[in-house]
Amino acid sequence: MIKIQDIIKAIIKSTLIATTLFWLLLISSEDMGRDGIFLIAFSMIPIFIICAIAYTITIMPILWNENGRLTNKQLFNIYFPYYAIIAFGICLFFIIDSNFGNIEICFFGTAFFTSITAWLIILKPQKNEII
Amino acid sequence: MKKIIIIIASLLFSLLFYKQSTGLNFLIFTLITILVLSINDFSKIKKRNTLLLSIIYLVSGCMIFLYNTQLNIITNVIIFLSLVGSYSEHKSSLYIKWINGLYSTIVSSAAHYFDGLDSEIKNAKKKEINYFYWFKIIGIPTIVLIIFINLYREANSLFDEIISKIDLSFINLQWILFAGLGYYLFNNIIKPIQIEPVTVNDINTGNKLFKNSLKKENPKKLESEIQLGTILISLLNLLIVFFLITDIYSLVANYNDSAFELSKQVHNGTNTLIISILLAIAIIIYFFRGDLNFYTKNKLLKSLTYLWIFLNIILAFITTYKNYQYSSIYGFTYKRIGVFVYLFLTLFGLITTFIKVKSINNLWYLFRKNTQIAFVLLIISSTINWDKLITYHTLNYVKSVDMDYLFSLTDNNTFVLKDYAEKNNINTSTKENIDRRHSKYIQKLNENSWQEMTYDNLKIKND
Repeated sequence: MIKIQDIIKAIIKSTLIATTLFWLLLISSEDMGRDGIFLIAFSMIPIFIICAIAYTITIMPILWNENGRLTNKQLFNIYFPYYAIIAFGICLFFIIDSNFGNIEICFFGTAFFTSITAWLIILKPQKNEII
Repeated sequence: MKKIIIIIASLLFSLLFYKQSTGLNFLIFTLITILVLSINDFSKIKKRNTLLLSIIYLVSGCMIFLYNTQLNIITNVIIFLSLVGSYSEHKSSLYIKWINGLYSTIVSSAAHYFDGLDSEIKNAKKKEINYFYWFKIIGIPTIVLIIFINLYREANSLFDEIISKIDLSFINLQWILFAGLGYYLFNNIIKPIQIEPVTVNDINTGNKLFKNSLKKENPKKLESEIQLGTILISLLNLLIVFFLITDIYSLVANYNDSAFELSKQVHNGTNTLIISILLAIAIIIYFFRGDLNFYTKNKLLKSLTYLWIFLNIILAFITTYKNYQYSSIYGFTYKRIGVFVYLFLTLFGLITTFIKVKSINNLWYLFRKNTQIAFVLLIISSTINWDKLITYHTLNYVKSVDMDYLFSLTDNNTFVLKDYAEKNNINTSTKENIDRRHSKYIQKLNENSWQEMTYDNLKIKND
């Protein structure tokens, strides 16, 4: 059973990953200027909100629906492949739809990799769970 | 050794694709992929299916070099996924290979990472290369360092001056990230994974329907189902016969239809066919889903089903003829070729449905065979230079040439158009348009980098 504090921790971790990845991709392609650093810090707020929404809408319903009936490994094996394929399809669609726009590549590329790592973070076995 | 190969492959990936359009790079990437997979595990590539897919993949890479169309690229990507899926599990069906191929390509590393977390033994192995650890050790301090450097630059002008003199422009971060993406891709495909239990179920499920594996139906229920099926398919047979008679009559009576009428007829015919065939297959699948296949009194229903399939095939042929008639008068277009492709697929859909009923096969048989046929058709169609073919056919065999349509096609028809303009008396504005298109294309070819080179580059060099 996943606790609320674990979910919050996972959202924070995902926010850090998403912020790092997004700005790394963006800085590599566009000059941010001197104020970029403040933008990065400020961007963590919307990124946190997006991550929280993504967790609540896409991952948590699956986990709550199973309600502790399956182990983390079973959950991962059953749901993760389809989640990953659908997430990839949606992100790729928006990237192609934007005609490979720079910002869109950064945003949806980040969204895809963050959603993938979100599963690893939230279903990661705790030390005491390891056999 | 494997790590070195992946690093080399990822550097080549960035070299080939970073800020480049498509062309020779796809062919080289195809070769690199096959080479990397072979070096990683030759026994997997040696398997008949995988070997065949590797050859097809290579041919598809050559097609991009030759024609460089979107169809070529889409086909190449689909074959790539099939190859990775086959490398993952060669015994699975084609559509499972696609799913496994896609899954492996996009997240194999993540799945392996998760598996590695699952046991202490694997965890110990994982500690040898713990990517998250290295990210924490290198990534986080780097980010924090950058933040502080920027803050100090604001506070101290001398510090700012010194920092601004550091020229790191020789490092292309985007190129490195692109190589990272290449690394991720190759790392994923050399360790392919399968989606369970879909893959195992697919391998364990044959094409045949077995009586023992089915739920026993009540004989009374079966009897009523037979009655319903017989009445329904008899009526549908009558309906399609009536439709075919009227269709053939209108075809013979209105031989010289206007373009608009003929176009309407072809499109209506195709729409009718789409609904009719899909419904036919759905109804047949419904009735022959289980016990009814083994019921002794099913002979009449089976005969009616065969007749219905046969009549649908006739409908497909009539629509093909109409489309052919239309295309031979007004020339080929992608839409008209698409209708031929659809009719071809429909024909095979009906044939496989016939085999399904006759040989008592299951639904998976239909999925397997039809995806295979669609895949083969996609491969074959990607080996044809459609723009050139459409243009050549229109210019040489069609009375009223739609030049606007020909200009809307890709540059693959430029040389055919140029040749036509030189050998025929055409109006000045069309000739000017062709010349402009030709010189633009030549300029574009000359501007191509070696990664973007296509067969036409060699052609203009030799000319």
